[in-house]
Amino acid sequence: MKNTKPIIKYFVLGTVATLLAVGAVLYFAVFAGITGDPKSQEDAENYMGLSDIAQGAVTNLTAEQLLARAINGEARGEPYEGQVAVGAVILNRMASPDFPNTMAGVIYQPWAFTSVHDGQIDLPIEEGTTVLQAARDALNGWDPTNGCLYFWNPDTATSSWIWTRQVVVKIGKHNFGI
Amino acid sequence: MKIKKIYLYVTSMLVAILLASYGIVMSDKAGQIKRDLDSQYDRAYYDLTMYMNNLEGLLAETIIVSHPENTSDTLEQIWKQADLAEENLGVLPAGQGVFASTSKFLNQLSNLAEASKDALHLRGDVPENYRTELKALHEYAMVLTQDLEEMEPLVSQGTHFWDNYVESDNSGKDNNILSGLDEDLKNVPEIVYDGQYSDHLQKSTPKSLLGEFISSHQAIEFMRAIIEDTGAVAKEIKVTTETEGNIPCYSLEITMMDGSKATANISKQGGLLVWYLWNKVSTDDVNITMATAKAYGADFLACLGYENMLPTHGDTVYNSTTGNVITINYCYQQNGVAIYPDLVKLRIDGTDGTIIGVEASGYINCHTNRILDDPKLSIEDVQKYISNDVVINSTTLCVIPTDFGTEILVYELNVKYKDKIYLIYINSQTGKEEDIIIKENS
Repeated sequence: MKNTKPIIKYFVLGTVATLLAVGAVLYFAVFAGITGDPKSQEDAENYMGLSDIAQGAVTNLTAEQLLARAINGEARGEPYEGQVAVGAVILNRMASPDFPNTMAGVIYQPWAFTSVHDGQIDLPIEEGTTVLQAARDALNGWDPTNGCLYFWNPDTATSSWIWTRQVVVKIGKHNFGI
Repeated sequence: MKIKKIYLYVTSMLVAILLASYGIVMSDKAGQIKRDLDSQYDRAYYDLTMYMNNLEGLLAETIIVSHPENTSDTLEQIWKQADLAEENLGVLPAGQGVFASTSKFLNQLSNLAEASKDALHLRGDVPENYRTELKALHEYAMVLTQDLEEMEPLVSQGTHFWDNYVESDNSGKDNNILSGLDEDLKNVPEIVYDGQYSDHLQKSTPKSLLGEFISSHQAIEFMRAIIEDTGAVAKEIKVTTETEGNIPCYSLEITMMDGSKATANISKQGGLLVWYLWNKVSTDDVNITMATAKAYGADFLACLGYENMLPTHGDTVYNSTTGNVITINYCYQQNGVAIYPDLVKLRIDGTDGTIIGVEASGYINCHTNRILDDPKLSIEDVQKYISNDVVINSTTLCVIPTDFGTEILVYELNVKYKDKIYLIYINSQTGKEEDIIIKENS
């Protein structure tokens, strides 16, 4: 009898804890699932790097930010020229009949860019990086790829199809091709 | 001991129950998200199929019925619905490049319908060559519609159809239905018309690429002189690679005195600087005025051999953590007429006026000796098209490019409305408004 009391005690405690834990998990999973990932407007603006722009004439701020985020996700470790080149490929796709005609259409086309698939496109643009300037130069017409529509990293490319493209130029870790 | 064992047993039970319930909830949630995503793919597929069905009918209508008013409405529907079809196509998880031919087909169809409608309005009928192109595209619209309809039983089976396409590299898979769709559109004949996706534009050759071919050694020497003109000092210049494409070039890498690198392309023919980029980092504030920057830019262009270049609209100043960069566009002037296609863009360091970027492909592709027609309309004629509510600051003649590789002589009217400057381009021969631009930094 002496031993049964603690067992009951542990059993009761255990059940209560289990119920609490399951409840908490269910609450967290379901409730968070319904409301989504809460991000305040301020957070959203900061992570898009809007505060980086002190002044200047930008014809389409949203497009510039989206392009900068795509460059950040795809080529933030690349030389400056390689960052402009990635931006230029996205703009060349918009102008090509073979691809969607809007920037979001090109960037978010399924399987078009790894950074969209693995979420790196949502990484905050760090202060002091050149991706925003690279986006501006690409939008202003600089195209180090001479009109390329594709780029890939030969060390990590998982698609065998991409190798059917003709390489026009290599910049940093990326091959650029048509 | 016994108590400890029971304690351990209960704890591990607890952990197991916790993990299991967490797993169940998560997998249920993942399943829900997947179903939501599959539903979006399904929706895009059904919409695409509906638009293709409509397009097949509409294209047949343009061939069968020739009443101008009906035709105009039909062409507008084709233009609109082909665009919508293309948008839905872009949602399907096909992998990059898989839908290139289908996308091109839909873009050209939309674009050709727009050009046909314009021609109909301008001359009263659709030109015979456009009708021939519409007939050709109708054949392929039938093929695509049929292919899409044959997919329907697979898509409606449930959500498993899209599971075949959940990896980026699904191109090599057996029985790849999506790439099969595209396969059937690879043989669409070349379509030529006045529109931006016309096939004749894909093969344009640069107009001012003339002269002798240069060696890589000469390219380095040319680059050395150019760097001196920019106001920078190069430690080392080397050719890294040769690039093909529209303008075959030598790619050069320039190492500056501070160790930073710049890159540039010099054309093999004629030895022209096509572009130059130096990501010079200057964190100081802008020291030079816009007027000084424009003068530095003009001097530099003169050193490169450009004559009659004037700054246009669109100069920008960026103060950012990455440096202070002024971008100025210069365009060629022929007898006082601004030739906008002949554009050279310069990036200038706002702290000391060093030229840190050049983009001359516009000029190299477009510049030629033009014969400009006399305008049929006078300045007074075109100013009548502007509402009395606005103030006209200036009216000048200029040449602007069209979407389809031609050029038109227009009047540029700089007008002010509600504290914003608008640039309105009116055709100097017909009075048609060709374009309107809001100048942001007014």
